[in-house]
Amino acid sequence: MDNYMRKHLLSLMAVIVLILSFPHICSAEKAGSSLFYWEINLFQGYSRNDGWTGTGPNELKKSIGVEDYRRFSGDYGDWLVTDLQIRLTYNSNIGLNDALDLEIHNAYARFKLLYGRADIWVGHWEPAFGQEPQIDTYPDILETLYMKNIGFKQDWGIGVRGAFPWWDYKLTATNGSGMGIQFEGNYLFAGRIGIGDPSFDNYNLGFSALYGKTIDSMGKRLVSSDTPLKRRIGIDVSLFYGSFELRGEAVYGTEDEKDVAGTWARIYYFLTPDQKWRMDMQYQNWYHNLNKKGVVDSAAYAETSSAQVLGFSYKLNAPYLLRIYYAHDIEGRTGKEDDKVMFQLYYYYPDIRGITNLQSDYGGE
Amino acid sequence: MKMKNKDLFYNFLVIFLLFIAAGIFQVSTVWGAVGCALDDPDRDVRRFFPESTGYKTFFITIKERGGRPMADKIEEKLGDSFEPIYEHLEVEHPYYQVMKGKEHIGWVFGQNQKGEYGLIQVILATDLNGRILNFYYQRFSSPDASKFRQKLFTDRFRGVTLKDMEAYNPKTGEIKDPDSPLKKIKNPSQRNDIDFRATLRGIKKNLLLFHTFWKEGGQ
Repeated sequence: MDNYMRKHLLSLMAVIVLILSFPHICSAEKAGSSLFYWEINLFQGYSRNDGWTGTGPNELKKSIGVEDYRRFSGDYGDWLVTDLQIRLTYNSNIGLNDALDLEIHNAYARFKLLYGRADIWVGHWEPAFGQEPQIDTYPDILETLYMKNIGFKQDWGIGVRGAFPWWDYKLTATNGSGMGIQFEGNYLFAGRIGIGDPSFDNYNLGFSALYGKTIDSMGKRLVSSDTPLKRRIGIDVSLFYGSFELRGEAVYGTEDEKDVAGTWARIYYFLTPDQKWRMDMQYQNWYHNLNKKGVVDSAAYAETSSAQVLGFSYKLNAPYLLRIYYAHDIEGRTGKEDDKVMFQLYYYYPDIRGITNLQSDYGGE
Repeated sequence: MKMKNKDLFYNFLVIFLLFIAAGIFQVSTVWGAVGCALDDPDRDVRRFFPESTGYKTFFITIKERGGRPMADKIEEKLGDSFEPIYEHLEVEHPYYQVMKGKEHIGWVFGQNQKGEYGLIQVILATDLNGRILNFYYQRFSSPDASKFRQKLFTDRFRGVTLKDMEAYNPKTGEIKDPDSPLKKIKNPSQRNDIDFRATLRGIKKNLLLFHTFWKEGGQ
């Protein structure tokens, strides 16, 4: 074992120890108002064009992490909600020097105001645009149009959100930099109005808009300091019909002077009576530079593309979820096609001891 | 980007280390996996308690309150055994204690219940003693969902208590007490008896857990 590898393995073990000791630090807090989860995500994909790959379309990587969710109450009820979700990731697509990273997902404090009509949040959370804030695809292989529209899922900043009997709203003002905080002239304003209460109306129809300059980043690292001016409007729908869960989204806008547009639709369906097997289907299109098709664009993530995904999820037991997906991608500019097979093992559970138990009836005993 | 053999080796080494590290530490926590939380508690609590001014949220697991012995008692009273996906002992059951100023005026709580086609989420709004004031389905995966969600059906559960539900046997679908108000509640779907029985089981389980945690010294 060379020094280089030894150094990284020691770093890896050190961060794992840190994460594993996290529950003991938190356990001083009163039980009953907090939730704590372990998360392990193992992803492996195979692309016909690129061979084995360690990251998924949703920036999925091998990772171990924790989530700590708390509610704070007084005599009159809850007044504050906090959530911290961090993970140690290993990206096998890049050199060992950069392969390990500590990533932050949720890191926010939400102050409850006017009994949920104007909650204020501060921290790292979703900009208010489209479907992503409704469903949070963080651990999923299937992604929304968020990465195409914004380039990241969560951002540092502030926001206000409220819900009324038949409608809800969200407004955010964020840094426009994703996981890291940067000051390159970047900023992002976003808002969404939703109509319909999914619990009673079985649907939610959303109208969104965003405006801002965002930087191109990968995790906390700055990829490019270019800050194209983004304008977007979008419409999204969630529909619960019978045994189906249907979601879709359509967006249009500009990126500097270029037109962009995208569509996205997803269907879930449970296959077996025990509800362990679920079929997932998704179709996604993205058009960049609508008026000048064929022009080479430097922003690789923003190229015209189409992706069709069909897959199956299997709930092995309470902690474990297994996924296998097949995807067919078409790069619109070149017409280049690719087929991918993706595997995921996802563990999300309050007790890490469940990791060694693969029995189908395991439930924490 | 193609992965080299060396990278592939490190790749599997990391997976191995993650499992080994987690196995060695065997850390236990006091929290649990969240059960049937309200999608939007502010909106939902306000809907059923318009006079309310807030609520307090509690997360409770069977594991931390009584473990397997408590689960055995609940299963015996339920008349059925728990299933491992939705009803394991570490499920964090959320309870919303509804407040009007500093006064406690009611409860809202829910349960996940396996239906014929998918998940059924049974939400109850009750008075301080657990008498049902309102009942609704937050999720209902079924072609017959619209029939079950009609107010004509859900309103029939108003006033029902745990004592009423004790007459129901989830395994056989029978109601032992001929005077039980449950006798008057008919399946809204001509076809789907499984989801009707799942609904009754979900409500009985919901009330049982509430009474166990909050009324029988479990708190």
